[in-house]
Amino acid sequence: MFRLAFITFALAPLLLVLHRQDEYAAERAALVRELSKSGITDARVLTTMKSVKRHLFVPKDLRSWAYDNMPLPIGEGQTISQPEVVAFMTQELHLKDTDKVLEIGTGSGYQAAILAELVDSVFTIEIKSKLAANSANLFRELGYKKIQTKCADGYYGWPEHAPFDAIMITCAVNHVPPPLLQQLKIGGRLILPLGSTRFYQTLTRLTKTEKRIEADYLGTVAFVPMSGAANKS
Amino acid sequence: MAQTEYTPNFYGGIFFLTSGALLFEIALIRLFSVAQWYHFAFLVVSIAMLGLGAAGSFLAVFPDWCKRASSQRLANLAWLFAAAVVAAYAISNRIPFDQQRVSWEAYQFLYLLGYYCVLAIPMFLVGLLLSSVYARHSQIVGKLYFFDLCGAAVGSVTVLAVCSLAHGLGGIWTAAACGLISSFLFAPGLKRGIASLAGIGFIGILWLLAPSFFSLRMSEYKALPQLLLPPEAKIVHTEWTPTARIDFVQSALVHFAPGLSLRRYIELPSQLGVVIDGGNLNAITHFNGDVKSLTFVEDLPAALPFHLSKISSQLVFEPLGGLDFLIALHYGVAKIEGAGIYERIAGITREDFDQFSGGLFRDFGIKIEAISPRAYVKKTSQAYDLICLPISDSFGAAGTGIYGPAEDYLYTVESFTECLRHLSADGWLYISCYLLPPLRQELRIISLAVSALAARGSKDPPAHLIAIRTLETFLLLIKSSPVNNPEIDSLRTFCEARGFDLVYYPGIVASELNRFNRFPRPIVHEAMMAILQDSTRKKFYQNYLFDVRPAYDDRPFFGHFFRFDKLNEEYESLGRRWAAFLEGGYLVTAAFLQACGVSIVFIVLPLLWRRRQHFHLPPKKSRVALLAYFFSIGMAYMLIEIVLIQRFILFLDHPLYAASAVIGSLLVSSACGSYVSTKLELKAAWKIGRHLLCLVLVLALYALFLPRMLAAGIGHPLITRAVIAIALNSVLGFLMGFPFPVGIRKLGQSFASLVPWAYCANSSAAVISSAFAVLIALEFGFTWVMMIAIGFYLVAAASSWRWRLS
Repeated sequence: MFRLAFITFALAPLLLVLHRQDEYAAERAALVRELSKSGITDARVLTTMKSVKRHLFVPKDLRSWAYDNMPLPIGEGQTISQPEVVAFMTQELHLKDTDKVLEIGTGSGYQAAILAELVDSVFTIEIKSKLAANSANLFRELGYKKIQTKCADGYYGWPEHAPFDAIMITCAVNHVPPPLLQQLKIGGRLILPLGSTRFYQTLTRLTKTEKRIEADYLGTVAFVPMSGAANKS
Repeated sequence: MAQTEYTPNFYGGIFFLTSGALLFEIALIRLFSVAQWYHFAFLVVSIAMLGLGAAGSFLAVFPDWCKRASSQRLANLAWLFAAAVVAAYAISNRIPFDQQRVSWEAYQFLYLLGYYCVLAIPMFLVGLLLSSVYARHSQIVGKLYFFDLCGAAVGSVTVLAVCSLAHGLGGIWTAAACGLISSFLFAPGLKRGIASLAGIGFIGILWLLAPSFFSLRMSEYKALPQLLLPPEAKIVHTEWTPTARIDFVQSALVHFAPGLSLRRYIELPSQLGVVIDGGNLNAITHFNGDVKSLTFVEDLPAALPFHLSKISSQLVFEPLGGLDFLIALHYGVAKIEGAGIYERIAGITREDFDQFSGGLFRDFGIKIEAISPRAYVKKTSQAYDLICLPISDSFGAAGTGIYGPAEDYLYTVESFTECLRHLSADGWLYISCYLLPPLRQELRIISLAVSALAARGSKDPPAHLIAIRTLETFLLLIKSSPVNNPEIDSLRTFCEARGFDLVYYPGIVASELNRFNRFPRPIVHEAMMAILQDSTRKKFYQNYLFDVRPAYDDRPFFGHFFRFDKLNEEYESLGRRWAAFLEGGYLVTAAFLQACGVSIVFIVLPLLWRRRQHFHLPPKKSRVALLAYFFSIGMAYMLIEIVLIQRFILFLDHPLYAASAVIGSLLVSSACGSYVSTKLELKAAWKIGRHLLCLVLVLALYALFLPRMLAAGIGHPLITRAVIAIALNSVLGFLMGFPFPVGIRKLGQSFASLVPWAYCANSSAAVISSAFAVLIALEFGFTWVMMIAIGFYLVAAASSWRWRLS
């Protein structure tokens, strides 16, 4: 009896920690059910969405909203994308577990974490130094060894690690950066919110074939454009 | 009150104060259009103007304040106005509001409220001063109003000269200086002189030193701050013109080649960004002077006409950075002309970036004229093989493609018809826009083309059309003669090689659609076919999610697509994102509703208060008549002013000339009317009902004949047209100058303490009407705005007969 009580007391803090660490598991599961109803059909993507803890990628004061299907501010005038958009973009890249993926616009790092669960290696670039540093620290803390980060202008891609099987741009752009096309393998896919840098874009998937680039319009999205800190005169 | 108030200084004080107020208002609109977006400027400044109404309301509640309105107090108010102008600008410039963030940061609305409060203060001070002066001197109100309007007229014209100075802040500093001069004139003396001089000195220092604290803070989501993101990026030239801020930017992110084929992953030659008002990116392309080296242009959709037929002469509207000129030069066009209101870009390029641009605007015999494209096609007798309209997103439509409230006379049926008239026998009219599903702009371009071809007498409009899609743009070519088979063969070859999708040509088959840039269905083709066929067009317009009917000169809103009856479906189609509704007609509705709400509070509150305090009030019927009178004349005046500005834009070539001529002449002539009204005995003057009916008759004649008169006079030299415009406006303005001062005189005779309340009703109406005019014009056209203005004058006439104050 005494032994049982001792074990209970000894394990209680551990159980508490475990419980706290995954206190959002139910909400995450509910979110995944919502995603599956809204057209996310790729089982691998759904499983990943269920395992990656989005609440760790949003500011602490917003964690209670982490599993609502909506974008949230992450500071620096940027947002973490709506989970449905994250899942949809990931699904539409048709990833294989051997793929090498480049992400432009790390933000809080959530999308890169999702990708890392699905592919062999992820390279992610963020232009905002504060966001880049925060996400790099977080990846280290959470043990995402497959992810490599860089603080730079994503327009030019990451030629040292090219070519990529897939490239994902997670900020609004009004044209396809040619360097990124060059860094895409034949048969590779590039997904991006193309169009206006204000409010609305068309989510577009480009596929590089031997002869040409082919495009598929996948729907409308609302990504935040890159934002500058201040005017220079 | 001291006798000195009736000296010229006193009137001068009013003159400078209203000059300053108008300068402040217009300067704010200009600055906020640059810092945020035009819609935001419209929303905020309209509320700021309600500060005038708030002051009238305040004085109606505290009438004793008027009795204490000594010269010293007026001088103090004017001085405070000057200080408030500087402070309001400085504070509002630091409020971290951003329209873009509203969708994910709810507290942005608090910032918006902050804007309202801060910016309304200067106008509140102006309103306090004017209302109290009118209340105390209602018997000479005609004379006071004369100086009030003259000051406003001078302010509205001066702003054009000063807005471009001091890094765009010239309007703010001059407005403050006007307040200080006004302060001195109200109570001249050593102390006041020193205070005013000190203030002017301080403003002079701000003007000269341009401290960074006052630098205009631009939304970080506008194109300019985004281009400046890379560390090495910088602005290499900034120029404020009376209508725009133009920036030349050196940045690796500059990439302007709409619709460029991805077939060769081409890196463009280096480009220098050209940004107008912080948005609307265009570019000067590096050019070594060898036209054959410009091979990248062959991958642009704009090269299509040159592959279809021989182009010997070309007219480019709004050439901006000159990309269309480079294409024309590459394909050996002999005669190239350009016309547009942003000709200054070519001037700056010639002066500062001539080597970079390879002497594009100097050495190649390209003729560019600083004139609106519509005016250019009206005056020229030439025929061209190719006329290029600017990509519509550059001007009409902003981010969401729903930049509703801005008029655009280039994208109307009349404009397209005029362009078609200037095409050679086998000439092409080229129109393009950015693709932005759900389809809107593309379909309106098609509807414009069909209507214009029909207006030109074409029996088979579809036979004249070619449409293609690139990854990001839509392109429509209208040919003056039917498209022939060799041209269709060339079209196929051109698109196949570049990965562009065919949308339409006469005889297109389904297998040719939606091949390279794929929608789930060929939706652009399907919608286009519905518009092209007579049997389906009307039904399509009725049922389609957006309003894509053609725009006309009377309703020149190319970018207005929203339909109130489809609100819910539009919301669903935009992925349940309400942020899109921040632009377009809905924001005007918001401005209108908030102006109405605030105005009702300002107008009703004093009456309730006075009744509670047992103040003597006119009978209820007279109160209603009073309100109807002052409110109606306020509404009617502003509605007519807005309609006249619109009518004269085409006549005077340029929106700037139109605004200056109309506002200036209307206010000065109204001032004269007001002055003349003081010369009449009140008994004679109070036959205002007849006067208003006379005005209604003249307005009806204007509504009927003005468009025809202007069309007849359009071929005359600008100076002649300006004289005609001023003469026409002055007749109206003179008659429109009577009702307000006569009404105030009549009211002041028996209820002087209600004068501020009447002023509140009148100025609130002026604010409401600016949004109301746009709302009506968006749905029904400017003719209806004119009709409604006439209706308001009729209401005013009827109200004047129901007035029983004695």
